[in-house]
Amino acid sequence: MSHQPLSSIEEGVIEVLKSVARRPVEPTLASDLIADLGFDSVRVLEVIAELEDRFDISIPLNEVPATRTVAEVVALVAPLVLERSSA
Amino acid sequence: MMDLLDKLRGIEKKAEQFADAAAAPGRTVIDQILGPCEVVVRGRPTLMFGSNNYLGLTLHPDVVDAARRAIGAFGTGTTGSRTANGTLALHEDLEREFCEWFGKPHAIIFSTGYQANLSLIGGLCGAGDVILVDSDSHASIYDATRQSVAQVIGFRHNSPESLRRKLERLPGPGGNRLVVVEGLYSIRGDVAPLREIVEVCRAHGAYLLVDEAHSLGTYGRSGLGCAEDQGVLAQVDFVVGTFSKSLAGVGGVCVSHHPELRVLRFVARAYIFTASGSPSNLAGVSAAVKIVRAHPELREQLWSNIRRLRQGLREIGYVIGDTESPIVPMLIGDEQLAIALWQRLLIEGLYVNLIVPPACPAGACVLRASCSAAHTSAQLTRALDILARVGAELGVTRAVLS
Repeated sequence: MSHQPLSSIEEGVIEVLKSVARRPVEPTLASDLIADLGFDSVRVLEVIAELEDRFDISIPLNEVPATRTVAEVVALVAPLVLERSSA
Repeated sequence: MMDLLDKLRGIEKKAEQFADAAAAPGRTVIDQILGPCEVVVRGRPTLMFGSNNYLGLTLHPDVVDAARRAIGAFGTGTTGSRTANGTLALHEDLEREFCEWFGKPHAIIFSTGYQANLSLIGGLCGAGDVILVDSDSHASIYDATRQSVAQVIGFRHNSPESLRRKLERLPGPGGNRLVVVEGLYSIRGDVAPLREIVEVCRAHGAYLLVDEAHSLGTYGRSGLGCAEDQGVLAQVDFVVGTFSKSLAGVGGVCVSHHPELRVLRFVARAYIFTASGSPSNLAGVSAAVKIVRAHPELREQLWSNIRRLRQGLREIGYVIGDTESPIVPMLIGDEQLAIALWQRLLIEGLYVNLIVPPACPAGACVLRASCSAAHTSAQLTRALDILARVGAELGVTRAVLS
């Protein structure tokens, strides 16, 4: 049973955000996906798909509208990654 | 603190940049219909390559006569919902017509295609269920999932492999899962690999709903859509269709071999709490179905027109979508360029659809032309002439021409 440390999840999320953004961005945990990173709803769906592939998880889309900041994305992804690692 | 209306003011400001232009996206007024593929916009005859009138039936004499007769017999409106205010014989006639056409025992019609998806997805899925949707799904599918308390999971567009992975990750047996895809996708104009999707669904015990909004009437030997075309109609649990495209009316339908579909009449909110289709509309659609069933040559003409338009666009130098389908996306990219091209085409007498964010990703803007069986050879030639001239003028096709 191996648990991926949270910091690597944060790093992974930030890498995905950078790769999906069409322009150079420097996301921090406090960055707002829409206001700071300029993502629209289509781009957010792309972020979700990339995160799912990277971490081998399924992110319920029901949770996405309430997710505004990078920290909230990490909070969405982390339990799913931990659940998968411990499965 | 932001005012409620600030969000709308921001959008209004964006729309205002077109206020004085000859053409404003999303606000085109069609003053007159000259024919199934020709209209009048701002006093100018305009070729219509942006409707979903795939078989050109909106002015077919049989459809128009049936609608007229229905008004005489049943009046203009139904005054309310079928549940509260009564089902007309016309509603049941049309449902029987769809059962016969599809060779499936159960059909329910809805007031719009949008409400068909809301009713199906909302009526089938609740707490503890899982809805898996293709990421390119239409807004009606996404909106339906938002109204449900079921868990919603997306999978990559047209990827049976992505769907398989998502299904594999779910715990337990698959009886509470609904996979939702479209036959023909309306923005990219590409077709779902339904055989593979059916296989994945069967392997994981998931139900499959296929929305054939754009493919009903245009694909398959009997015009039943992409599932028929790919030989998997019997394996699709729920086929959703719309009347507003090939069938020249307004409304939606679901056909199924599952008798439980009947129960949706008591649980689907978008069926119960809305006004039912009007008599003229129902009779017109019924006539259109009969024409589609009796005249496969309409589809042959449509596909001949599609090949002509695609070849012409390629020769001019437009980059178009890979899939041969009634929806022909011209890939433009930049939003300002796409808007400018769209406006110039309209001013020159050609109406196509403009697809800009949020309907597509930023930088991936598209002009969408839709083919009709009713486009004449002369109209296709004129449309291609306009596209060649305006495309060269704005530099959209220059790279290829030079």
